[in-house]
Amino acid sequence: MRSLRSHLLTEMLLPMLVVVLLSGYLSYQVGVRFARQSYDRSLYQTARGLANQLRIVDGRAHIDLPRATEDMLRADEVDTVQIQISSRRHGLLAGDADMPPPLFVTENQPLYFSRRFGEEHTLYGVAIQLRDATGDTVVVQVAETDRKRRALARDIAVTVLLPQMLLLLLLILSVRSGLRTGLKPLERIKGALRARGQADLSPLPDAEVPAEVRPLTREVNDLLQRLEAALGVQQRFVANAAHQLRTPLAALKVQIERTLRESRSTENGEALEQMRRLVDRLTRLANQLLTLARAEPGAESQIRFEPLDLRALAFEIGSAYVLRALQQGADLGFAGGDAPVMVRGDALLLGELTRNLLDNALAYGRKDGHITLGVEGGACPALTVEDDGPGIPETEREAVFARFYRPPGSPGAGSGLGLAIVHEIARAHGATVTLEAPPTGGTRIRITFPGKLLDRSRP
Amino acid sequence: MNARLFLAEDDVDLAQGLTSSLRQTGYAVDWAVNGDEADRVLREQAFDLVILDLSLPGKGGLEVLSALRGRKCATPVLILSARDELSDRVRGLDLGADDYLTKPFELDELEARARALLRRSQARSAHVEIGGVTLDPAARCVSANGVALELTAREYALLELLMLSAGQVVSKSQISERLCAPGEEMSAGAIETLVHRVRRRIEGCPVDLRTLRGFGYLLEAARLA
Repeated sequence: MRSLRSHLLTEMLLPMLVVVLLSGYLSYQVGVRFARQSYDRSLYQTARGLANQLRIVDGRAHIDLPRATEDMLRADEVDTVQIQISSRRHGLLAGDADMPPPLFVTENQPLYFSRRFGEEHTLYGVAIQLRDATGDTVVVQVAETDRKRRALARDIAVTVLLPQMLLLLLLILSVRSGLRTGLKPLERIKGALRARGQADLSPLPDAEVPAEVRPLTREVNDLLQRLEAALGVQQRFVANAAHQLRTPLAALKVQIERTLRESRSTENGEALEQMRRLVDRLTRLANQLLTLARAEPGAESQIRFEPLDLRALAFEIGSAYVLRALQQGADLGFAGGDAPVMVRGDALLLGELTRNLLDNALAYGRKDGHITLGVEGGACPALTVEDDGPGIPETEREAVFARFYRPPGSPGAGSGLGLAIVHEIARAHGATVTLEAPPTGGTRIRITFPGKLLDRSRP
Repeated sequence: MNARLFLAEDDVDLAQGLTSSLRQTGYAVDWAVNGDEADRVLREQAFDLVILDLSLPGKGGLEVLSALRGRKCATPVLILSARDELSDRVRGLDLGADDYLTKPFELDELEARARALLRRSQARSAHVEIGGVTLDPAARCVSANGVALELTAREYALLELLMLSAGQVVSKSQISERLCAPGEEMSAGAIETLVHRVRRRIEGCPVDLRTLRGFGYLLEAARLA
């Protein structure tokens, strides 16, 4: 697809170029023609002057052309001048002998001619014929080479074409700048579209858009609106489905655990244990889908932002993970001081964010490793979770935030939604997620909240 | 001990699973399937512990709870809530609930919480025994493997707190709150020293007093490796 700019440029500049070149060529031709006419006239005047010198002496045509006069006529700095006066009856009267006689000269009507002269020159000349008192026909020819004419033609070309070229340059520049200003609204729309995140489905501003482009922005805005509505329907569906799934799952889990207690046979016990793990996975998946549906772009209206103590929240959720970590042999610690760290956020979503980070650290950290949940206050409050596992290779760091991404060769239970959820929740809070590689190895994920308490609940 | 439990839960499958498990453990369990029924039963009978689902049909869990507390009934209440009913859960605690669990939960955890709540409400009278350590709240004395320990007042208070919350994380600020007069505070170092002393006292019993980096402490019966 060609760009609109290059399309318009070629469409407008090509015809302009043709017009300018054509007009230049025509002006040149006209100039050369007038120049040639003036040279021809002066040749003609010379010929006429010579003709006036003709006398009848002793009953025949005679011209008195003193050496000095002839020299004067031939005196030319650049061109070679040829002169010939000949009579039909008496042959050459004066001048050069080697000029061929003209073919069709009529009386009192000058004939302008040109012929080759030497290797690279042309001879331009005029011939006039007159009848003297004796009835004889006398032909006067004056010719000169074309050096002066060529020089003049070059001068004309330069004086005519140079302004034309400047004109052309001016045209190109003005067309280009015109296009740029003309296309600016489109550039603005493009910039606005590129700058917005995938979350932003708000309509494009079309106040300053030219009339020709407005139908386009209107259609795009229409589409965005339909997209937002469709996304909302889908989110509500996922949220409802996930919500409805959880109660039967909770019941199933209790039933399995009850049976597990009663079961004496180890064979059944293993199967039941497996079932319990599967129910846990399903429950986690349902919870994650629900969270994702709530944190996703378009669901901002459901998020309740309020000032909350990030330290207290992290401490509470971390406490609930301590037993799980102990069972697994991992050491989960907390580093967050005693002072409250206030951020503006949705406690439910930030809780989910913390859970997902801890789940990940427990799943992908070292089996009996150290995990530290940290909270930092100050200008930019942050939540960190650090493990001393194998770490995330540089090449995978982008990919881990994709939905359903799972590291190659990772153990069974994860859904691959954890970090995607973390990312969505952080985004909804205006927070950034960074993956850091602590010098001691492992992975540290840092959620940095905006310094100023961000209020996105108000439009 | 045969404590009487009351369960208000509208999901029949979950409720049946819970009641039969809790009965198996040795509790007497009554069960109501909606808020109105729960409210009626709680007006007529006394229980040792109420397990209350927040999203009950009819009268909601919160309404049942506030009615219960309105009657000056001090029975411990454990709230069951879905994870996203956060504000309800907070309101529940404000209304006088003693603890909460989010669905879905481990059966073991529910029973641990139930035990802790029962222990706390019966603390004035009943003995508590964890991994060979026995606490007699009435006499304010502790014995390890049958031998009475001589404890300072602070040591006893700490051990009591840890034993009544056995299996749960106890933070340093909780310890400081419990051990100090209002307005006073214990330094982290003082708490660490105290815990160290208590740990030495119960050495030799099959009980673990774990230090949880940054979180606090946890007392539980020693795990069988």
